[in-house]
Amino acid sequence: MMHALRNQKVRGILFQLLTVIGLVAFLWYIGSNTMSNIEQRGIKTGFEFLNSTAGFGIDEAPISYQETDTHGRVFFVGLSNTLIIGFVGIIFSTILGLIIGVLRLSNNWLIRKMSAAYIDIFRNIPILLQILFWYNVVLKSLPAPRKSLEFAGDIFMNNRGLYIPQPDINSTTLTILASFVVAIVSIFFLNIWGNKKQEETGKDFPIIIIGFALFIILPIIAYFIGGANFNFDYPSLQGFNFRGGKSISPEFLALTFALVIYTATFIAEAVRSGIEAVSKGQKEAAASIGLSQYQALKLVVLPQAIRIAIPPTINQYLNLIKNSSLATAIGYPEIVTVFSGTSLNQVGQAIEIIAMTMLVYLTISLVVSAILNWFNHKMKIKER
Amino acid sequence: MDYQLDFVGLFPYYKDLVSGIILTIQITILTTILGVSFGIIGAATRVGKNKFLQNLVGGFVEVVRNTPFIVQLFFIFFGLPTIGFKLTALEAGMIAMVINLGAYSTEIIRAGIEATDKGQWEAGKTLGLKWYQIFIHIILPQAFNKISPALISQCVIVMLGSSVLSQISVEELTFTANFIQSRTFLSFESYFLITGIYLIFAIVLRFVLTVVSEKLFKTKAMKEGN
Repeated sequence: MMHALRNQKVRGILFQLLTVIGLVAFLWYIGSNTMSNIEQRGIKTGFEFLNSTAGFGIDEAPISYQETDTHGRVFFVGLSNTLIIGFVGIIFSTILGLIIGVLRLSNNWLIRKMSAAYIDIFRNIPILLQILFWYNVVLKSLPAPRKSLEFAGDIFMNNRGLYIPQPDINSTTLTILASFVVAIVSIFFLNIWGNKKQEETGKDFPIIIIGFALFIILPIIAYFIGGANFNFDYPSLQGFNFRGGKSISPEFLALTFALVIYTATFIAEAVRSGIEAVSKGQKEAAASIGLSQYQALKLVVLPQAIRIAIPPTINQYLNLIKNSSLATAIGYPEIVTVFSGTSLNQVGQAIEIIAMTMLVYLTISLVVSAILNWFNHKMKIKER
Repeated sequence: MDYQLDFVGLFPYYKDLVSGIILTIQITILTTILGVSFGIIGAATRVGKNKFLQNLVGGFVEVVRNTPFIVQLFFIFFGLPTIGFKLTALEAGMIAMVINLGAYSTEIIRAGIEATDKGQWEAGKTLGLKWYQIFIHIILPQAFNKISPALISQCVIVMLGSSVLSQISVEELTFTANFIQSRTFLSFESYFLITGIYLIFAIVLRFVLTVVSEKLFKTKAMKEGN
């Protein structure tokens, strides 16, 4: 017996076995504990609650929702709100982050220092506090609907949100929307074609100018094709509140502002490190073989900078989506607020509900990191 | 806009403020120590020989890193009582924060260990040191030296994340700010004050941790080498 214990192989297996036994015992303990607790309190288990009536209203539901709908429906309402805030936040934080990141490297001392200060301050304030600040301080101190701030005659802002004109959905709007999609797709393929042509002939293809032109010309053509019938539904003050138009809630605004401002600081740092990582020699080499400054930027600096800047930026997108869960503090109805909050309070099946919520975020993360891996693989420097 | 700032109006609540500050400091210190220790153990498991434990810790780390902190907090505070662990808000918050920092620092420390030269392990072995001796005396100091900036940033992020505990009514700084602004309606002043305090916390914590890591992990040879 002692002899066998001294054998390293036997000992290894023994320890593995002990760990597994320990783990199984632990899980069994938790399992039995759970069952007895559940029995004691009369809590149901399983996912049948998803089919029961929710019975509470949700202010902003991107998909149709009524109080008589089920908790399963609530889950999807919350999920779509999470995706909306993620999408909007990602677009705006990318734009702001790019601008701040470039300004951070400006030659102007004041601009450089100011963007550095912006980055240092906003990344060191808790994101929750920033959300609360925008919601409780800025948006709550706006005037009441009757004294709304007015921009350009048709945009109103008050403590109940932002009201903007909304185009009617008819053939014109739909064709214009379609033309934007066509423009994006055609720019994508033109870019590939232009790069190929450049590699063959050495001539630069002015993709930026042509892209801009497409973005302007195609929607104009679409406007006339679609029947030139472009109507807006304008918001107007009726009684105590605005009717018509598209209203954006203060919760959504506060969350977007806070997330964009916070995330942009991290994206700005990623952009800066990307640009700084391209060594000076690369720019000088590009200049010495006669590339113009624009060509050097497009062909030499940017491809290398993007390769470094994109992975941390995508990580920040993930963080933004995770941080959007803090919306529960101000009551924007995304998945944590309505499903892990209100539904949980009504049903009481915390484990199931929170596990489902975690699964949502895990899935989003896995999808995004799959995209990231694909990107890293594609952008890998191909040595010849 | 004829708004007058009124910071004096916050003064009657200085006791709440002080207790909020103290609680946040206590939470931060405890979380940093426990979380990083958790991370060291986690990283040791990740680079250790046991495949099963490796995958277990790896999966755990991925789950924690890919879900929002507030959902983890809700899971511990609302979920665990249904399976028989009754926790106060503060206990639940502390556990959530330690787990969160633990998972992130596991990943950071593991990166540092893997960036350390394999020859160091072999050199330790030839000297007749045991695995844990090599890990503690040779590998860990070098790893920490490499990753201390990342680890310090993570600690600051987790400290700022303690504000989320206000959502399960732990009476820390953000909770205090909400409490004061709901009592006085001086929302700008209270948030402005708390923001300033968090900024100071972030700077001080970064400074303290930098000094500590210099003292603990920079050997004389390393200092001369750099």
